[in-house]
Amino acid sequence: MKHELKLLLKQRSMVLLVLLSLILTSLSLQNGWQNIAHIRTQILHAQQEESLRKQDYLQSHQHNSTLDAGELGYYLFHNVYHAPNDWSFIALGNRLVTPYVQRIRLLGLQGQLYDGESHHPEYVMLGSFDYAFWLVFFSPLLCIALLHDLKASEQQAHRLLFLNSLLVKPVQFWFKRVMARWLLIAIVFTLPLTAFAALHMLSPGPLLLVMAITLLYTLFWTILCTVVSLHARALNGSFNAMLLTGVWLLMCVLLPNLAQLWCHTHLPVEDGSQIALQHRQLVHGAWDLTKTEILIPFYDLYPQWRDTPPVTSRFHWKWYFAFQHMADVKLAPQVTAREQALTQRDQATQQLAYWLPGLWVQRRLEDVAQSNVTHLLAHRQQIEQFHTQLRHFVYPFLFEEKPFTKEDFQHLPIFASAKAD
Amino acid sequence: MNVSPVWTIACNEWRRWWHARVPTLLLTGLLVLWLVATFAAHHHWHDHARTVAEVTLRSQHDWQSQPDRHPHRVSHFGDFVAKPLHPLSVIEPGIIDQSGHLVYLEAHRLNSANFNPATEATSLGRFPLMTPGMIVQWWMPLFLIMIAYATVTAEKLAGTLAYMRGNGIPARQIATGKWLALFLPFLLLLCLQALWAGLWSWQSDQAMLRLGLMLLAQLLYLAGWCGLVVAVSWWSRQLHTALLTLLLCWICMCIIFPRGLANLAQVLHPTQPRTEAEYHAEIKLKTLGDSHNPDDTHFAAFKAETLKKYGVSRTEDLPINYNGLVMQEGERLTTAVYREQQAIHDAQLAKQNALIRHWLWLSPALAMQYVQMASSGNDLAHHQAFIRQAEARRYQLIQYLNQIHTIKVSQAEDKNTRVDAAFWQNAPRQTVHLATIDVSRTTLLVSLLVLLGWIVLPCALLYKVSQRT
Repeated sequence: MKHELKLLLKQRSMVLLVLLSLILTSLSLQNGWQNIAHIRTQILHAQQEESLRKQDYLQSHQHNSTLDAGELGYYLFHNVYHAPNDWSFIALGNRLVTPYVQRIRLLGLQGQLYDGESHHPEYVMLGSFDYAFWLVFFSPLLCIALLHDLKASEQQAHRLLFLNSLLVKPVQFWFKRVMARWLLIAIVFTLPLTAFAALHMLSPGPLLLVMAITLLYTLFWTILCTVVSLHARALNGSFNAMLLTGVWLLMCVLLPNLAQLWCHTHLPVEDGSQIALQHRQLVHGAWDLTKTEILIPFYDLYPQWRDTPPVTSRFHWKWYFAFQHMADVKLAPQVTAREQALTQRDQATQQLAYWLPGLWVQRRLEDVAQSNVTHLLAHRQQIEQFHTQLRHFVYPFLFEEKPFTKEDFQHLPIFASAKAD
Repeated sequence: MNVSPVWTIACNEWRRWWHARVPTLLLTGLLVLWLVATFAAHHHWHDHARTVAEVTLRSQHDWQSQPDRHPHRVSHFGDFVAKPLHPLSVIEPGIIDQSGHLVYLEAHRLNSANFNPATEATSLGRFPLMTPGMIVQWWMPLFLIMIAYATVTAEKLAGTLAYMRGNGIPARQIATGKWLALFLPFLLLLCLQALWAGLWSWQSDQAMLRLGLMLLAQLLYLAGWCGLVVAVSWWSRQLHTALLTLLLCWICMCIIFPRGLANLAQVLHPTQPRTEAEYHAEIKLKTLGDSHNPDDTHFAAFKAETLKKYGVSRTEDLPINYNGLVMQEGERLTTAVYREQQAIHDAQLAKQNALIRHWLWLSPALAMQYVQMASSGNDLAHHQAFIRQAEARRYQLIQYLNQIHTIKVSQAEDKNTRVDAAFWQNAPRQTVHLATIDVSRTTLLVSLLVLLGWIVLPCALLYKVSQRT
């Protein structure tokens, strides 16, 4: 094995290739890290700003040292954060698109959830250069470059017959040769990873997992390339290269595209715009309904406030927030159906991942990085919970028309992003 | 130049491909890939087109079926516009998935486009989408490399190149012959694609111009690649050197540089998060004047001026509804602030674009993609034009409603008045059109320039190396 490695590293083009790959692996890690660091600073900044803004609000909206709960619901925004975890840099996934800070107020939630972040859309379209991308797309190419002509190169140098006659245990010989190459490939990917993890003092659990994924994936391609290039008649190097590139194209581009096409036709998801349109209709239609038409169904949901003072004036915040919430309630089945369809798509992807190694790696890494659609939905769930918490906090003041004191203001719920475990 | 040896060399090359089988197989593979891509892209396009049609229909229906209402209610009810699509999106969908395709237009607010499908994509969405545009940009060069990396190197190794040169065929004729052999099949493919796309989109606006530009860029791009392949093949002494060099060029130009440049632009000139921008706009609005606050200085002055203009002493005595006037003035002020905010955001994106354009020569693939995106109406410039049009429509609509508020609603009975639904049904709601290709002029110019440079460079290289032998 040592000899094999020596032989390999004697070739200048091989050393160049390995060095270049090492640099690119490090770059992919650094780039992912930079993106996540940017998100982190923005979140930190937003958190600091949020507390200042809330103090500001307290200063400017006081009337006789109490606040109007209705005004507070309408004017005060609360930040919700889609915080990355330590290992999110490994696969940026949909973090590239989703807003990492959103502002939520007490109005209907469905009208507030779907705003995009103000990224450069062309940048998002081009995609990120992160470790997952690099591994999924390029480790196969590296394997092909190193392994496509195992037999063919010997044949070309007119050594193959000679070699065959010398070998006592040909299996062992080729095994060593292949393993040496695999080792080199594995080093290209894992060495910068380990160094990076050590440098930033990251937790070892995910590191081991990512390493295992990397090793398995590169091993898979190594075996595939070996099978092709050690085949009895595999004496034409460029034919092997082409065949393997074809397989790569099939596995990393063509099949994922076809799979996505299949997924989208078999598991259709109602376009989100339909929810926005209906939400608007429900919220604004409510102004034309009578007060009781809104409040009776609302009180059915919240019987504890049925006996609170009735709404007699033209406008009252309790009626206003009640119809905002009722719009969400009426839309709930559609929203759930939509989320279910998205989950189904995700599960279908999971099933497909057992057949497509590239997809499997992408998914596993996104699980580590928590940047998949599952995590997006979980994040939305969290926002919903926060919104509910907020409503339940403010409702007593609205419905019982209690004064909202400064003291109460300090106890307003704050969004706590579930830290990744 | 005597044409016949060039032609003979090209024909010979094809004959050799035919006998080697592998190139024929590769070309078949390319065709299959292209068919799948066309199918997938059509499906993708159809999805979007259906959404746009549904939203437009539904929002039109919702708008028209509004009952008698107070005009200010209507302006809060708001209007939806969906981003129009050019049929050529079927070749290059560009930023359709990333930019969001729906804008909610309402009073005192400037909403961004929301609902981008990219957010909710599964891991499968992280794989590059296969579209005819992608095939030209990525896969045609790759297949070209596979088919022809050996084209001159093999002749060199077999000694036939020296033989040909010895027989008095000038190097430039050999080079032209090889280049033609590579380029003509692709020319045919691209022309077929353009013909098909032309039939598909001939009724749409600027179809011929857009298609022409796209075809021009694709031809320049592939011509450059053919030149590069022949040049590298001529330069290499060994087959695998040629293959590796070409593959390296491909990986850098098609994959690493575009992504790297976009990332670099994002890191060097980060955009302000939306929540921040919104907050700053709100702060600014507070300093401008609060239309709901009767003691506000700006609106006090406005009131005095209005009273003077009509020669009355109380707003109640005005012949029109003062509340409506305040709404109009308020909308004017808020719109100015939001448009300023939008301009700041656009400036941030423009900075990123400038950086990418500055380094665009590194990646002709990206330049080609820019031309394709611009000609199919799916680049940033078209998106921004859409946002501007939507905003113009919003302002016009809201001011129309405020006007109705001013003249049709009596001030004394302001809150109890409902205005006839016919007023909404006849409200001005300009159709939002796809912008003309003119909006992407800068990008197009830079990209085409890069592509011109891109065919000159390999030709120069080829000329140089062919002189050596």
